Amino acid sequence: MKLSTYNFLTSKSIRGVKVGYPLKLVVSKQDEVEAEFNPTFIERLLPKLEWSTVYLSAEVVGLQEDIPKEFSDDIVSNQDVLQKLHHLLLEVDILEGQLECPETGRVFPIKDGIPNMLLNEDEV
Amino acid sequence: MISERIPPISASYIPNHKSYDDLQQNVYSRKSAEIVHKVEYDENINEINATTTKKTETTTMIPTGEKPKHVESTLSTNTTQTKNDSRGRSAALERAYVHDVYENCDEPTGALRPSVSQFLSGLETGSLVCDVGCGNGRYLTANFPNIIPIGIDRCQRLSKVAKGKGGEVTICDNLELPFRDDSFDAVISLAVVHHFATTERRILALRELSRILRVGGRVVITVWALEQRHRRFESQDVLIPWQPPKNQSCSYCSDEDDDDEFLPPYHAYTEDSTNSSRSAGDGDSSSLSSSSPGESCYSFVRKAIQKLAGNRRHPWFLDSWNSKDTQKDNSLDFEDARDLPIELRRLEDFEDLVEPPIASAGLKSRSLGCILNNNNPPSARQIVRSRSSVPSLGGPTTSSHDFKNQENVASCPSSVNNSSTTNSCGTSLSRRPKLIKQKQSLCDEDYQLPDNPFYVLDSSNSSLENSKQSNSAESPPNSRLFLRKQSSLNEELMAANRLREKERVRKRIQKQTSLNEAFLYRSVFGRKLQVIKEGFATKIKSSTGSLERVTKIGLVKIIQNFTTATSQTTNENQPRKNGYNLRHGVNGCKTNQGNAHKPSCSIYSELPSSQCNCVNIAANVENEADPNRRHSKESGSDSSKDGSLQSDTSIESEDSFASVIFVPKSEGNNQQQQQKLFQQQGHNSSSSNSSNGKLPTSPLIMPCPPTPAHSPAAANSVVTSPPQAVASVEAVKNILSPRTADINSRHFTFDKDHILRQESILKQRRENILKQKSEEEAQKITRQTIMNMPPIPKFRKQPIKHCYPIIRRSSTQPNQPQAIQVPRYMSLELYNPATDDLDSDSNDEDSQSSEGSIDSVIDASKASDTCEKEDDIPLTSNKSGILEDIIEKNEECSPMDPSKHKEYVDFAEKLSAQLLKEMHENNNESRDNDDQHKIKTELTALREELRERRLMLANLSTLPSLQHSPNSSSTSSLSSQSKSYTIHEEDEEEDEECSSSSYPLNIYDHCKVSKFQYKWNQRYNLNPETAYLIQDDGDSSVRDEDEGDVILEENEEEEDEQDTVKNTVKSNSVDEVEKDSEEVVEPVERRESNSSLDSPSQSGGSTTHHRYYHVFREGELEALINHHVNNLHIVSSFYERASWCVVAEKVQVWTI
Repeated sequence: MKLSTYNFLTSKSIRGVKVGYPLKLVVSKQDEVEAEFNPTFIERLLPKLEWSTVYLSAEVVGLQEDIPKEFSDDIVSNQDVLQKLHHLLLEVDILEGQLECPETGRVFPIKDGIPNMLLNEDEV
Repeated sequence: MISERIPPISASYIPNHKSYDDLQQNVYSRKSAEIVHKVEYDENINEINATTTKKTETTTMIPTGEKPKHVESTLSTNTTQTKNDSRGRSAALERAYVHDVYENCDEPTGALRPSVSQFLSGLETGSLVCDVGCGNGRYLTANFPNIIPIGIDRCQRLSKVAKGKGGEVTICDNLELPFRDDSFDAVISLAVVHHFATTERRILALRELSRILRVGGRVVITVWALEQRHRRFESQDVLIPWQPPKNQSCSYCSDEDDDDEFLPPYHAYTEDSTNSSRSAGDGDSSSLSSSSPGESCYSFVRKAIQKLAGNRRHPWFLDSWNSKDTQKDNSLDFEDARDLPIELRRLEDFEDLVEPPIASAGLKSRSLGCILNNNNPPSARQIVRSRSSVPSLGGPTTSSHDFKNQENVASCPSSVNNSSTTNSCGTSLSRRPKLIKQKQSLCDEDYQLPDNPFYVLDSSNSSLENSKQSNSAESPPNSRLFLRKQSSLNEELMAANRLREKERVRKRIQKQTSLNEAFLYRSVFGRKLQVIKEGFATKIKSSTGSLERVTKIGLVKIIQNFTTATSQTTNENQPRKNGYNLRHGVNGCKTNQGNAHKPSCSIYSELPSSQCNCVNIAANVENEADPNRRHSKESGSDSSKDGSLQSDTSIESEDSFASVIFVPKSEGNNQQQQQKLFQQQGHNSSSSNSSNGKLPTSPLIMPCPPTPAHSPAAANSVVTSPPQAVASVEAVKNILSPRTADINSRHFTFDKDHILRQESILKQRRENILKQKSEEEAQKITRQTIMNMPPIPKFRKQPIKHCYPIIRRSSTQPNQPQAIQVPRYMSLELYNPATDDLDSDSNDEDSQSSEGSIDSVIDASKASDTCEKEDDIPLTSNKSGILEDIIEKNEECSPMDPSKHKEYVDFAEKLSAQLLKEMHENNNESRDNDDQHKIKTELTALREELRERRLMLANLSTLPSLQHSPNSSSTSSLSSQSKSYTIHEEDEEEDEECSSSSYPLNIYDHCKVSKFQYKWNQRYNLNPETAYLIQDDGDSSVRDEDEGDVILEENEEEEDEQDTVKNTVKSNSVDEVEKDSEEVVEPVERRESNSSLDSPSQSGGSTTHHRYYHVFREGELEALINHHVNNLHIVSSFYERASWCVVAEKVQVWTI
């Protein structure tokens, strides 16, 4: 699971959960994959991202030093930050770990890089 | 629309009962629909005022007091339970037919859909795209440098595949997308929405897609189209089999990829074809019932469908049905039943939310839940019942003997024609609508139980023989249970098939009846009798060698000649008709008779094997005992008769032959000379007494004549005869005519005691007969009596035969009660059903029984001499003619193996030789032979019908093992035969068994059967089951020397079955075991053969996975979006590669 994906994941589908965001990420195994850097991608992606979650995920993977804690328009113009964001969002792959609903504590396992967000029928 | 065309046809098959719940659901759904609109309006208002992301939330909103309520919430509030049920059902369906299938089947990678590729490539750089239902990640890993794709899929296996390719995948459900709102620039949902089982769920899925899409973002949705170039769907809800690997290359497995060009045409079937092993919601999974395209029944439907679907270029049905036919797409030429789509009906009955475009609502007659819930399709069953001409449909299920007796009495008055109604009335209790459609045949059999005497006897016998009962599925409840278990979605299909078959049977019966009448009129007793006698003598004694070699065909011809030469009385015709009707009913209708026959058969089989000896001994002792025993004997004989009738399947053939022989004689006597009749009866009884197998025949004969007089009740006569018997009871029997009294008493007595009594009764009968003979007509009687006397000891000598005769007697006894004169006709009728039974299941036992019957018949014939013989001959000839006709029909329907025919012929010849020897012993074998031939022909015809049915059933039902197991439980060969038939087959088998049971079973049969089996086994190295089948054929052939043609046909059929058995079943080598196993195996074989014939893939191979599809009509998806997903605005919709493609853009909805 890439952290860009993680940025959009929510557990709001669970019955009784109103926001379900951000999910608590626990990483037990992570990997890095090579991805072509395209600043346009990051620029277009930034508006959709929840920056606080980006920073949170950066902390989890130990890359919080690379990005500013607060979002600012300057980031878009900073190629170095964009590069690091690219690495953080698109090249870091969470292979093993889990996601936890902040409201219900429901755990979604991440296995083989695939988060399993399936819910049981009684949870919907 | 296709769906519109189909409904009328399918309507007949499909029970149109909506459960109360369904109706409620509909009401609720309507309300909910109205509410939805309001809610949407509210939502719009809220959206205006809304500031946050919840503007566009459509699906996941939780109903909170003032907040906009989603359809789901409203619906749930209105009908929480029904909603939950329907949801659970649809979810289960999707889980079984979508999720699990994708977990187990490889999704072929096909070419990207051009429109989608164009869409993705046209997106702005850096667009975040969510591929909902990414599958193996074709679009995730495709080289679209301008997008950031995130795939989601429910299938873990496919997700791993996609992940392995480097795609970014998340496992989740389309209905609960784990993404924030307004996140994605584009969403693609390719071949996903059509997997949702209900409109509600489809709407929810669409709303979820819209939710995660940002305003201004676009979504591409593709769904399978109902209107496809090469595929035709009758209904919108179909289960598509996962194509075998060969087709996978075409990548047609993937929904998205399904291109008309690439994919072989899917043939949509009405409910008829159901290969699905899984039932959607319920745990009771339907057996993988493969429809047999080759069956004639379907052809009729096809034609009708073709007419209905005049617009369609090509009747897809035909393609599907006739795999042989060259279809447009060669790839589908050999479509297996598995490959055929299964159409689901009424999936969304509870959902009225369906949008206007979904005019299919009418088409969607059934929801899976409805189907599953509706174990009792009353309409279909009723239709079947009404349609089925089987007079004996109204079967009593009462196990108590008293009830049986009463039923018998009631049934007696009712004519054969009315029997269906009357029987039902009398034994309405017996009817069990609960049975599943597939098992409708069984149910029908139960209904047919009106032939209560038999059934009752069966039950009694079964009770007596606990082991037998337990073993055999004969016990109606057991069979029902099995049936229910087996019942599944396919049941409906099965029911439809059965209805068709019943109709066919009716037609055949009618034809046969007409033919029989004609034959009766035409029949020349003297000539035929003489010829037959000569033939036997020559064969046995080799004095007249000409007849010895007469093949079955020759015998048949001879019989026909006799029938034509001698004009029989109308009475005879009537009974014959009745008998035919009974047979037909048994064969086609799978009515209660069939059930009764099955049980009886099993019982008989058991009796002959284990109890027969004891019974014989007892019978011998009793025979010698005082006349007082006659009463008991009579009662016993009745029971034995019943038992014989019941056991007809295995032993029936023989019994039937003997009984038939006796009957004609008795009839002739009755009509011409009552004294002769009495004498004959006496002879019969004596013969039966002497030979247990013979005795039953005599009673059968007795009852038969009365039935003919009662022409309407002729069919009933077999069953109805009991009433008379009841009235007369033992005392009456003794007073009036020992035969009738015996019959009555026999009918009443169903218990083991009855069996013993029957034996004693038989003995008594013999005594009575002797007395009567002496009293009535010394002249004619002298010969007859003399003849009768000697045979009796002979029979006694043969214990096994004795057992059969008892059974036969019981069966025959019911006929006797009506009238001594008439009884013969009755017996004929009885024989007919017996023949029917014999044809299918009773072959092995039947052959044995037939042999015994022949012996007994010979004795009787000796006693009766020429006069009786003549009478018998015409009857037999008529029957034979009818049988021949039936056989011919059957032949037409069922393909025969020429090589096998030869072998069978050989067997038949051998058997015939043996029979001839026996006949020589009983000087008057010719009569018996004639009767036997007739019976054989009938049996063969019935067998053919049964086989056809079995094939049909086999194709449809994949649960033969279950059925077999119950059947196999029956220890005796008879029971085993019945067992052998699969569930579908069971019905037929039951019918056959019934018919066979009616026939007097001869002890000889067993020995002969074993011999034949041996021979067959040696020749073919077949499994015991197959050997049994072969033996049965041989027996039948031997029996019907004249009827060689018919027998041959049967043999061929049996051979086919045997072949199948060889392939599939591996029966034990032990004779008994073989019999049982064979019986069990036979059905399998038949099924296999059927399946093989119909569709190569049905029987073997890996299980086929079916995927559920809701194929969308043109405009249906658009309507869904427009009516239920307000924030999606359709940009374009088009048809591409068998799918409807819709490109919609998410818009901000401003409502004032």
